[in-house]
Amino acid sequence: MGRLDSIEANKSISRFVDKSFDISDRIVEILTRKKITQRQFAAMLGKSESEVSKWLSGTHNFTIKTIAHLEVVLEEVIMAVMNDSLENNVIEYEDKAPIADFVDCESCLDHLDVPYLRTENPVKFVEYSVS
Amino acid sequence: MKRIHIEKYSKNKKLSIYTVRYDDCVENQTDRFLDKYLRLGFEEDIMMIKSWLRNLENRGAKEHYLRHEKRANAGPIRFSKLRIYCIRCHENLIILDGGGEKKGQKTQDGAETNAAMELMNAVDIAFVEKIKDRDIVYSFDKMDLSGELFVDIT
Repeated sequence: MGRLDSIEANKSISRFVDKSFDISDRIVEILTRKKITQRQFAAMLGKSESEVSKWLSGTHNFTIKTIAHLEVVLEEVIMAVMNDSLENNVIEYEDKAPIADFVDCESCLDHLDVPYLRTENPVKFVEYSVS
Repeated sequence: MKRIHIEKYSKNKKLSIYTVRYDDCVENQTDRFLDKYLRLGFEEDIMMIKSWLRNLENRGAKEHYLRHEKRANAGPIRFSKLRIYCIRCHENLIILDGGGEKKGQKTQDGAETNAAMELMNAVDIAFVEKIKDRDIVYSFDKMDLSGELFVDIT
């Protein structure tokens, strides 16, 4: 890619930008699936549409507080931290009909072929959306 | 009247990037921008732009990743003190320009950002005419351009 190829990448910056894009894409995916427009989303949060637009640009430095608030408003997990029990990766819904069959964590994660996601002793099941 | 050439910069699975070059310049506008701001000590901002472009390559140039600047587009919207301008032809092809340092909330606040934005708007108007006249055509998969890969702007 022209001059850009000769510029040495900084791993921390790359990871930071990648994660920001991941978060934005995750929010857009949830909004699309739930048929929530950007305008409706802004209204739900009491924010301006332009502010929400910046959040969805893939270049916003979200605070943990903002992500937690968005998860509550959208009733979905946006970002999960890996831990031994995976308990934090489960979100409970009040009135939602099941949207997917329960999937065995072990086989599901191992199927992804990502070593650090493999579970030695799965302790519980995680609900995955198939939509 | 200035002639601007449209040249292939990179091509990946989800995004082809073209750049623009003035007829009387050897170097394209994107590389000139990168060289200039590296010399001025904006290494971290340039790395951010590099990572930003890599993400566009991997995910496609989705509309919500870019800021509208009249007919043109700009990014990264946040992170960097620098802003680079482009024409988003569609999700899998952009024409990249240079840019400049953000001097305020508006593009017009900075001479360089304003010049880059105006250039891309002028190029877009001429480019669309060439597409309509079929002087420039997309490949079957829409990821390549062929024909008269230049535009004349006033």
